[in-house]
Amino acid sequence: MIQKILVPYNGGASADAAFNFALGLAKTYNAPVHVLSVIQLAEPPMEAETEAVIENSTQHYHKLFADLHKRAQDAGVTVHASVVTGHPEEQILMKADKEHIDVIVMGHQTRGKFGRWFIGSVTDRVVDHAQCTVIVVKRDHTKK
Amino acid sequence: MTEVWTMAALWVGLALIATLLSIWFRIATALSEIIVGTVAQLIIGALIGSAALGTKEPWITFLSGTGAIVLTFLAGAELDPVVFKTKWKEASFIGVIAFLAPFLGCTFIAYKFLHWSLMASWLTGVALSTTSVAVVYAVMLEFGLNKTGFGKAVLAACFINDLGTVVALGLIFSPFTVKTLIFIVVSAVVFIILPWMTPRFFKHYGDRPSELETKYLLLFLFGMGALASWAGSEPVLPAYMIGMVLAGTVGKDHILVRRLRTLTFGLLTPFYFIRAGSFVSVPVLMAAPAAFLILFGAKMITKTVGVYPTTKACKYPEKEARYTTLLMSTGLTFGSISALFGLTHGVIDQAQYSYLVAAVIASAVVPTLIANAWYLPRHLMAVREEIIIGAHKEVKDQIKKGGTA
Repeated sequence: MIQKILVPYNGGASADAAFNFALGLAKTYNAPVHVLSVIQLAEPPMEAETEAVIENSTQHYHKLFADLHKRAQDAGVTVHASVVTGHPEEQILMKADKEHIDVIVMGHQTRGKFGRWFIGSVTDRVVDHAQCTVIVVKRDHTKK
Repeated sequence: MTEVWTMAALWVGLALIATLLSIWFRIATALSEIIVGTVAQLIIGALIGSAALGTKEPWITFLSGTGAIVLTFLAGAELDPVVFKTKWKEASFIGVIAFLAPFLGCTFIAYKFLHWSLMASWLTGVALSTTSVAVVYAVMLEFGLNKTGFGKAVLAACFINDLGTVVALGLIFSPFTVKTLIFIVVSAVVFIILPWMTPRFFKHYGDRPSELETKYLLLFLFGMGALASWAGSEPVLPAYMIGMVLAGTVGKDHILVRRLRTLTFGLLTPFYFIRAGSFVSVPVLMAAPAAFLILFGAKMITKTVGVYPTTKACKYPEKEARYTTLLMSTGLTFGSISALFGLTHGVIDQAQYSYLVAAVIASAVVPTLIANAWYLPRHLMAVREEIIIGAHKEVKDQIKKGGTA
């Protein structure tokens, strides 16, 4: 039984495909979808720049959330969206733990090319460390 | 004027490259600009000549200096005055220790082991004494500790730490004369009057397309900067203090702060950080890296000696105490400002500047890399391990059933 679904959302095409997949799952199980967007700061965070990044990113995600809420409403699914700051993998795992999430549905690629080469993808790390089921949705999932 | 415009295009082009690199590699723009400045000087200097970047041109020096002043002001304006009022005792305790330990320790190490002059050693102590408020703030946000009493105290302590740095920078290297006394008295009057006068002035005349607020703030920043410079001090000292005293008014005006950031990051700080990077001599660093390693080690050790026991004394959990200590060892902004002050005022030479900036950059990058690479998976895995060992029987049973913890 799936009672809560978590979708990490960065606004990219993969995350969008994951959200669509999660909506289908949520309808089937009548479960709410928790959307989590993580503001990743530059390393090392700098004075004045950090506040600017947080403000700009929060505004950006809230605009995207408006669209997600509309799509969820059309599908008859409840969505709880939130923005946090930190390392994406850590925040996703903490959220899953805190909210007793049953399934994490996430996009295939959630880091830049350099990031993936240097420290691996966010998806890899979430799959490795999550205590619940993780579904990885390919970007072109809806086209098939 | 053709030469000026060509030079301006070159600098803004470098700033654009630095920004793109910071986006691709997810590194701080300032760090990227310093590195681009160093590499550009190395390449352009070898191909055309060492003066090709025009780092000593008056207009570049002006834009660069203004960048440091406005950035310092914005950093000071991020202080939360309400938190500071309630936590000032703890914050002062932690902040003073976090400043004094590396300040005295690094001065001693530079003097004793690197055999630098006394003034160059003091400057080393100042440059390596800083703590990055932004890094600590990011950590607090990540752990959700920014709302706890201790988190607030540590954050406020970072401001005290950096205040110690700018006060030391502003006063140690200037001879104490009548000018210094006039500077201190005028500063005290301005710092008392500004928080009262500014909101009233903005209320009557502000919020117009003529950008009165920006002109008003720049007037005080330049005016007090001029006074500081006349007294033999450093303009970032009054800039940081003005930022702190106006944190409750200007700091809360998000639209105004956003406009100032556009001015700062779009035009001013690229000139400052690229110029700071251009003075770093890579051949000197390559020839004798030991000095850089000693300075970097000195900062890490002295910060740990100062900060770690303090966090433990405040009953901070072990892992968070270690993580916070590691990240309080960073400090790029004030570190580079102090080093550049030393170079331009003849306190240190180019070789010492290169070692110092390299140590400042390493202290900004290495702790965050260590923390990201080692701390994150381990602490998450440790939580899971504890659960499975049987610390929480109900959760363990839930996991066995295939649920979540």
